[in-house]
Amino acid sequence: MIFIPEIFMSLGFLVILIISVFLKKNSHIIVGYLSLILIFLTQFFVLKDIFLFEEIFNSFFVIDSFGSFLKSIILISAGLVIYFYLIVKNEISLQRPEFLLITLIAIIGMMLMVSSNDLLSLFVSLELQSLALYILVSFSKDDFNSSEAGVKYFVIGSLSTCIFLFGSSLIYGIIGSTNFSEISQFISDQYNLPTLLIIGLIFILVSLSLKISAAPFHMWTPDVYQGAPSIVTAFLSTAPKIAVFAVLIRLLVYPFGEIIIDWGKIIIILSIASMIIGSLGALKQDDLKRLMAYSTINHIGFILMALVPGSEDGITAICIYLIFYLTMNLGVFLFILNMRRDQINVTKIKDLSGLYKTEPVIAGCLAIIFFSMAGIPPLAGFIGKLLVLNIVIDNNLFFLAIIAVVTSVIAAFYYIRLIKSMFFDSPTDELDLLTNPQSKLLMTLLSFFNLTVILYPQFFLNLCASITLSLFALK
Amino acid sequence: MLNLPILPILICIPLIGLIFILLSSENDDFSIQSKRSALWTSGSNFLLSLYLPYNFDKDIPHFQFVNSFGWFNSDNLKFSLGVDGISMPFIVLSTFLILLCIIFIYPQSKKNMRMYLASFILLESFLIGTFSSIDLFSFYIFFESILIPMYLIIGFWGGERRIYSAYKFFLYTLLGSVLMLIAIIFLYQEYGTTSIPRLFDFSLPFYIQIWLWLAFFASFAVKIPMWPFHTWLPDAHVEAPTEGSVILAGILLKLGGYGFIRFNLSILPDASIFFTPFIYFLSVIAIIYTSLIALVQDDMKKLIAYSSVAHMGFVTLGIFSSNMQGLHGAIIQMVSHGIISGALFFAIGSIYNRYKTKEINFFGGLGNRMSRFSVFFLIFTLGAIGFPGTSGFVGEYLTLMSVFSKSTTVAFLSATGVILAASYMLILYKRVFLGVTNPNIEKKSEKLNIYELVTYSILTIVIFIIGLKPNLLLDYTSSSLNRIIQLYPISIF
Repeated sequence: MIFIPEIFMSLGFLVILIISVFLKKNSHIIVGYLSLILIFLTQFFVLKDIFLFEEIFNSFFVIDSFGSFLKSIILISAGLVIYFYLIVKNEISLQRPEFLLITLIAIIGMMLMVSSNDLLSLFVSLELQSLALYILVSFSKDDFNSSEAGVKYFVIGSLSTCIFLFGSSLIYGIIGSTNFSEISQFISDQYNLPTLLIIGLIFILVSLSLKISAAPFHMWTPDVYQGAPSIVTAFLSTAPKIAVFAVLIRLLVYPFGEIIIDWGKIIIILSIASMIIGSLGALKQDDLKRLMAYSTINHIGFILMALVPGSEDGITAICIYLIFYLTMNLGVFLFILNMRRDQINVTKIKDLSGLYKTEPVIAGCLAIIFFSMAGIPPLAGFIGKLLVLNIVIDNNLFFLAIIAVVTSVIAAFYYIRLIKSMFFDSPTDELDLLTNPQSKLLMTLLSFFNLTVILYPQFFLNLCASITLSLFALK
Repeated sequence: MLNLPILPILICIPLIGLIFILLSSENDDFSIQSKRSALWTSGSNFLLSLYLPYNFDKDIPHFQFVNSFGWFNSDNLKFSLGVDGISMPFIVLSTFLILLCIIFIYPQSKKNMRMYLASFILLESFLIGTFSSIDLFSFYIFFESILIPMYLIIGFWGGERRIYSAYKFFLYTLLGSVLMLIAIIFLYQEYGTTSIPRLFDFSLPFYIQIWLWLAFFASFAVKIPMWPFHTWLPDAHVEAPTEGSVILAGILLKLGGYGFIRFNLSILPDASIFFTPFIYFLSVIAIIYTSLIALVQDDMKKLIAYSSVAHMGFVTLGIFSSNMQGLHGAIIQMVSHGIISGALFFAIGSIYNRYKTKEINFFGGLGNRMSRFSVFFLIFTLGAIGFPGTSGFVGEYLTLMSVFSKSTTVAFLSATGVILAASYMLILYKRVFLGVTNPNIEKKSEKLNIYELVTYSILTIVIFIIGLKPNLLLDYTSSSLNRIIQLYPISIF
């Protein structure tokens, strides 16, 4: 009985589905709390077996501590997003139990992705989460923007799927298997690898870059982030990114670890392009959600740098950065969800102006999170950037390090612009006051986390280092 | 002798005070409760910081009062604090100037006073941390953290163009220091340690030193600021509130000079020798060019800001002369500039509080209205000129003497800066305080209040003490500087 978390999650999902049919009033609230309980219990099952290692279903899936750890992070972020859904006021069109049920499907898809050990299982789980996300993005069906974003996301996502399938078919054609361990075996046995294999890998990389919105495959991100309902954007920018990163790491480090020379350069190009586009693209944005999309691209570029050497330290740095990125992003989106004027959601940057006057505590917390995103010490974002730069410089990639720091200075400009409008500008129209205490408490906790990580960085380093060991155990 | 962990205490007291300030009940423009907390915090921190010179062993060149804490999961990356003769004066200077700032703020009212005080107290903690870090990473973290409170101080309480200036300040300094971060990580990767005392023992290859030197230079040249990188300073100074300017000129600029001595000079001696002509070139340009600019300024704060760049030119000259006189001169010049420019900014703040303008043309004959104030201002002016007897003289004299032993031309050119300083400062004094009373200032003539009087008296006394007995300060620094000078051959040219 090794595949417990996923099985438990799926069964729980079916039970909640049946329960939801019989609920009349406030069904989405009850389903929301049930999903939270389900996620909590699944989290327990994940953590219980965190040090287990086993290949299951004919090595279709693999259970290892790297996967389990990332699964638990995905569950935490998804649980937080569902909690956000419960505590903030949502649009009428989102107040349906289906919203949460589809979110649960997406989570199951992500968990399967993280433990996939075969191109086929990877494809199926990737599609499971993607299809769920397409629906979520276009969920508020009366909203033109949401539908537009859904169509865009669907078209780009399908393209990505096609590219992935094409790449895997090339790899299957050459190796005769889709299993990661057999791919790994083939690559280490062969001296001269056929070029087609590299081309297949490039196709898969392109497809996954589309999923994590690494430039130059980022085009859909700003539109989808802006168009989707804010709660979906919050979900979209955290859990799926972590899941796809897990896939990317597992794929590149394990089966294709031997040909690091070939994919290392591709990752370098992706990361440079993402950092530049992510920092320059955000400069002229006036919508907070759109700006967060570019900010995500910039962070993704930064994280990708640590993947270039494909070393244990690099993966550790990625895991730590992802945790910090999660706390920062969720903090910002929790605020965006609460941004409303006259009961209508607003997301423009100029709506932030003068926030300090009305909500000093929230403005302070948000400022900490933005400074942290900009990578100003002593906040969490700085530690993430420090660890990644450490990896980059350790591998003598100085030009990459210089591009990274220069783009992060440019990126700092738009974060401090946000802080400027919160603190220095006089309010034009005041936002509605934040009424729910849970949001305030959560914001405070997230910013407090960002503020105090500097005191115990070794905890995260030790944790993530012990987790990544399992990834390299197979080699 | 009590064996106090004095440096962690000095860093933590402001943080504890910060909690009290933030919890103080009133948050109006004149919140007496938070002012009291701030005064207690900074006062006790100043008194505690006097523990350092009192118990400091002048003969030990190494770091004293060392405290190390485990940090990242590596034995070589620790959070270490310690002081030697070079950093000790700056810690006392920081606590001293912050205390004076709080005293100066005391009778005033400002929007959101509680946050204003909180920013200063937070700044104090970061400043002490920066000067007392003996590990590159903790140094960098404190060094960069200063941006956050300073950005808020300029942007929130500044003048009309405060937002532009705050951006400029933030981005310039950030761009400079991220390059230093790369250098620090490189040092860590190559030598496995970031502990400054241990880095003294390595001798790095020349070609590596060159790159590291440039990376550190990028950070400190922006901070100090040297000539082509100085453009953020006048903007930041003009727009910052009075106390913000005092801290900016008084302490933040010194971070650059301190960094030059601590890193470029101590860890990278070969590259420092290589780049000395380059530094001389930039410094001479800074001294002459910015002095000429200062001559034509209409805004008092801008004039002092440009004069700061010129004075810092003397500091860089002294530092890279890399002999005892030069380094002594540089340190005295930094401390004295911290006090004198601080005093001048306080004085301009007093004028601004009364007349709401810093335009020189607005004034004339202010001496007739505020006679006591004009005496204080004269003393500060003479200090800025480098009049014998004031602290400014000692720094410039020692620096010029050391430069003269290296290069007569450079000494000649930089000495013209002293004359130019006399002209712009005296012209400023003449236009504001002497002559016929300008009708603009006929009406208002508030006397100096007791807080201002205390601030100015203390500053005046300190200016004369350092001016007349510089050895009080120099005795502390000699042995630490000796260790650096041993790295350098007698003659460079």
